[in-house]
Amino acid sequence: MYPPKLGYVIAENLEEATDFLEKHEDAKALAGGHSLIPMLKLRIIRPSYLVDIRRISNLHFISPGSDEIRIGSLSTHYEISKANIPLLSETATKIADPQVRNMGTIGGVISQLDPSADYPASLIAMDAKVKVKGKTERTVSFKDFAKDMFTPDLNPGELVTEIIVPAFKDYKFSYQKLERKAGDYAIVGVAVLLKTDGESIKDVRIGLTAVNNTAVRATEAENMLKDTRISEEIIEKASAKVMDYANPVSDIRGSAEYKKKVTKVMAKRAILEALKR
Amino acid sequence: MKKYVGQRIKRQEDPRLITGEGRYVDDLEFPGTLYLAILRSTVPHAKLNRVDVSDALKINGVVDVITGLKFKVENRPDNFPMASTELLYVGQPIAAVLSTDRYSAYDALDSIQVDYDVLPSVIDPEESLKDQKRAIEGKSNIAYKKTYSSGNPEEKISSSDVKVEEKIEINRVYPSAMEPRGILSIYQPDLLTIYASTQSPHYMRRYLLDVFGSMVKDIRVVQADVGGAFGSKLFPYAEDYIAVYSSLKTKRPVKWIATRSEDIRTTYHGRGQIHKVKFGVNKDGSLVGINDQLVIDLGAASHGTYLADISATMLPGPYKIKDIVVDVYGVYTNKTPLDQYRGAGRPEATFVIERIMDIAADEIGMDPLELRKKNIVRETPYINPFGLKYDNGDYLNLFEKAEKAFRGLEERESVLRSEGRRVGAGFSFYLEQNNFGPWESASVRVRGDGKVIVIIGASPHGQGTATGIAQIVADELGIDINDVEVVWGDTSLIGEGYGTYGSRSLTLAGNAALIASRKVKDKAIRLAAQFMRSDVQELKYDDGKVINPKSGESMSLREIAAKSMSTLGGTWNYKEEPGLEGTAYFGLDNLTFPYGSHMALVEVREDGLLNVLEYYAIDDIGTVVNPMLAEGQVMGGVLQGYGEATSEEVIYDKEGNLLTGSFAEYGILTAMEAFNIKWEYLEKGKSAAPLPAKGIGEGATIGTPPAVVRATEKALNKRITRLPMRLSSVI
Ligand SMILES: Cc1cc2nc3c(=O)[nH]c(=O)nc-3n(C[C@@H](O)[C@H](O)[C@H](O)COP(=O)(O)OP(=O)(O)OC[C@H]3O[C@@H](n4cnc5c(N)ncnc54)[C@H](O)[C@@H]3O)c2cc1C
Ligand SMILES: Cc1cc2nc3c(=O)[nH]c(=O)nc-3n(C[C@H](O)[C@H](O)[C@H](O)COP(=O)(O)OP(=O)(O)OC[C@H]3O[C@@H](n4cnc5c(N)ncnc54)[C@H](O)[C@@H]3O)c2cc1C
Repeated sequence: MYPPKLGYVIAENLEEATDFLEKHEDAKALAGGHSLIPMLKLRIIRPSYLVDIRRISNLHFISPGSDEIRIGSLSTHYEISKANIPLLSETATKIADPQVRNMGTIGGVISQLDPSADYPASLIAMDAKVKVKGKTERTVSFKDFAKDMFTPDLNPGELVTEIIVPAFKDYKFSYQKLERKAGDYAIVGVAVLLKTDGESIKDVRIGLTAVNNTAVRATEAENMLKDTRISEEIIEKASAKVMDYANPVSDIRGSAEYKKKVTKVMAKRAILEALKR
Repeated sequence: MKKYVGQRIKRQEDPRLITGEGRYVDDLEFPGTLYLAILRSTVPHAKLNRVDVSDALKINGVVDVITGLKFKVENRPDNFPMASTELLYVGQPIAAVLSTDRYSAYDALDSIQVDYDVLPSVIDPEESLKDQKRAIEGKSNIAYKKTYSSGNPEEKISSSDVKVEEKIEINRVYPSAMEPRGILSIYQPDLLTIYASTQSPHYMRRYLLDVFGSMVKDIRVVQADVGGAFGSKLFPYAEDYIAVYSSLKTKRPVKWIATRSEDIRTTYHGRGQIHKVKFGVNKDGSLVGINDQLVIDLGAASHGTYLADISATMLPGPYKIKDIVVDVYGVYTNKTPLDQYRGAGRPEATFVIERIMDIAADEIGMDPLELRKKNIVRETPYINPFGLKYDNGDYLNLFEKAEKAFRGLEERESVLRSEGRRVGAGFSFYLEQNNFGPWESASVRVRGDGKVIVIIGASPHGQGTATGIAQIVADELGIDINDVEVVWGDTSLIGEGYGTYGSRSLTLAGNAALIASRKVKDKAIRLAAQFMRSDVQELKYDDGKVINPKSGESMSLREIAAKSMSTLGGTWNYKEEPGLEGTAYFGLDNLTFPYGSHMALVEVREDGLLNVLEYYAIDDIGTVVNPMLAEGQVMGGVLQGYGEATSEEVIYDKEGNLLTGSFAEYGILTAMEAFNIKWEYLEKGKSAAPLPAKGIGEGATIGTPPAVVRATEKALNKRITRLPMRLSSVI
């Protein structure tokens, strides 16, 4: 676990960082370092430079608005967990352990795009947008930004500057993560946002992580629940439908078959927990 | 008068360790140290053609690169400590870089060119047994073959009411000490001083001198603080030989500390046995015959065979079975070599026999506790069919106490099941074999100020043994425990010793310390006789003092010590040799056999994970010197055993690549998965030692897996014959 030799650059501002990253294509931005440093130590990656972006203060903010919440890419999991953002704050509490939550950032998670990361389930359910800045600035939906696992829509010299999520004011929500043991990556994670009116469901969004290359929405399951009266039966059926959106691979965290089965269990748990709020 | 033995005395070792003042090998710094980095095989099996280090030597800081190092060490591969002709497993050392810092050392590894031709690999032990593809070129895969046989099991099984066949698998685990292995070797002409993360400095010295005896006069081995070992740090490893050789060659201090990735790949794995059992049981519950084919997955070296011998001979456990055969096969595979891990052979034996008990009960429709009782050994001493002499104890008495507790768990089980929950109660009874010898040493030395230093040949590394031994010595000498300091772990402190393994230290080193204390008392009386101008026969030692009951005169141990020291430069005018010291070596002529019972109430959640609702254990380990220390061993052992039953497993793919190469993959549990454990003890089965203790270091890793597996099996209503259970494939 000793990284190869590399250069280290501290960027004072965004322009400096993006300029440097554009000129040195094999350089890497360093945010929380909790994906990057382990890969360096295992010598899986060998960047020429690390560009430390942690001092760029205008990437470090959370600003709640009445319609949407803007989250600077350097916001740590801990900060997000304390920010009272529907669904996303709860999701942040379930990432790894306190050490990782104190260091890791949301910008780092979505730029890394580990297929088992937690936020993506929630971000996809929330229709989050991602603001990216290089020579120019652009905003893309998270769905398009997450092209494939470990493959964000980022060009050389571009950085994620912020993540924008709708405020989801009157929504109930829950993020349910199944892990083998405390601090582990998810076997499956299910994010649910619900809007109810008395006994019926007006709107519902269900996001899944860890059971596909990238996070997906279980749209048919959502449709089954939308505009129906809440009943045990319909929840059971919709949870079973969610399972159709899981295409997991067998690995040390369980067989594909098991992961599919527990996707249903976790979907149901997430719906029921959301309804309890 | 016993003031301390039997009390829950807090561990003397702890304050330093829990305030971050521990000094592990990597905390020790010596000027001029070279750092060792090791290039390792990334393939499970290959013919090694050439290793080119010329580019590595050009890297700034690199002082030397060593290849092709070869020593003859018993049971180790021909390619030891480095591969010179053949690569045998992922992680095997190929070359070693010595550099002035760790970073350049690891950088240099990238510049070494290795030319090899991949050979077919042998990963599955049952495949290996067929001996078609070879794990080691030119050698049969079957490294070891032995039959343990008694009576006529074939006949007994064929005439029994119910015959059962099962394959029981116990997978490999990684010992997972918190501190990876490491060594610092300091060169001086004629003397090497080695600081090591080891369970046995004396053993290490002897091993290393076997190889390096012609290059150096002596090797002093000092055990630094050790952050866990669990059996895995008993024998010196390839890296230890490489480090020692490097410091002899360069005449400089050399340090090697494993990274976690290296430690997972190369620290000897534990367990790794497959048992194909056939057994016969009669309708009345008597188990009449067992036929077991035991295949042990040795990896690329043959030093783990003794573990299969222990498993085979302990297979009968605490039951009266007479007709039994165990065919042992030790097979090579292209994996990390196998060796001992907490319990070492007994957990495997116990898992198999306890599975047999439960399965037999299910097959004939009998209560599994009744079936065990039907077969349990009722009188001790008892000679088991393979000649082991179970020393003493009242198994049935402990069993019946355990049964009471278990019936309570079963009541809760049925209440919860009636609520539709997947809950099960599981029970195990185990017989342990420990105090592996042959003996241990201790020296008790009274200093001039009356403080007592106790040197032991055992080398504890987290167990708290020093506290237990201080209790014993303080009681025997009748002094304050704070005046007793127990030290260990340095070959220059005491002539010989063995170390800490096999639940032996408190009993063997503790009794050596007891006997040494008695020698000190004798000597105190003889010195006091001089000082008090009395006859030795008139005096006796009592409560820290030598007294003359007739005259009422007395001298405390401290006073005798002080008087012995009184004038520097003066003369010694007494007819007794000065000095208040005693050294003793203590061995037992049989191993000891503690026993106990574990039980768990578990729930299988809908998501496939387990909740342990209740856990209870009861053990008889003879005299319990310090119930808090013993309880600590049980708690740690239960959680370790629970990990082995549920989530810990070293996994290779079919080609021999390690899939669990870091803690991101290997399923080591955390404090968050821990549960409450209730523990009680009995003191009926006393050992033959003057202080009749046995040992508790490993009992819980033996008793836990079968109890947890049985509970889970009942909760799911599906037979489970595999450790770990891989619940994701059974729910
Ligand atoms: C080879 C091996 C190595 C191990 N390495 C480690 C390790 O690195 N760290 C670790 O924590 N565990 C380790 N264990 C686990 C554990 O099994 C024991 O700690 C180990 O066997 C210690 O041996 P011991 O001789 O000290 O055991 P024991 O003599 O059984 O003593 C273990 C502890 O229990 C107490 N104890 C024992 N008998 C009694 C008694 N009659 N009354 C009161 N207290 C008693 C002792 O004082 C001591 O604290 C290892 C196990 C094995 C097989
Ligand atoms: C022990 C452990 C357990 C973990 N468990 C979980 C878990 O359960 N769930 C989970 O979701 N995650 C988990 N993680 C990952 C953790 O959340 C990381 O913090 C996260 O994946 C990366 O964020 P970071 O800020 O640390 O990014 P870094 O490691 O600094 O960077 C990661 C990648 O993103 C790039 N990058 C970083 N910021 C930006 C930016 N603003 N714009 C463009 N590119 C950028 C970097 O160049 C790098 O390629 C775990 C990590 C560890 C070490």
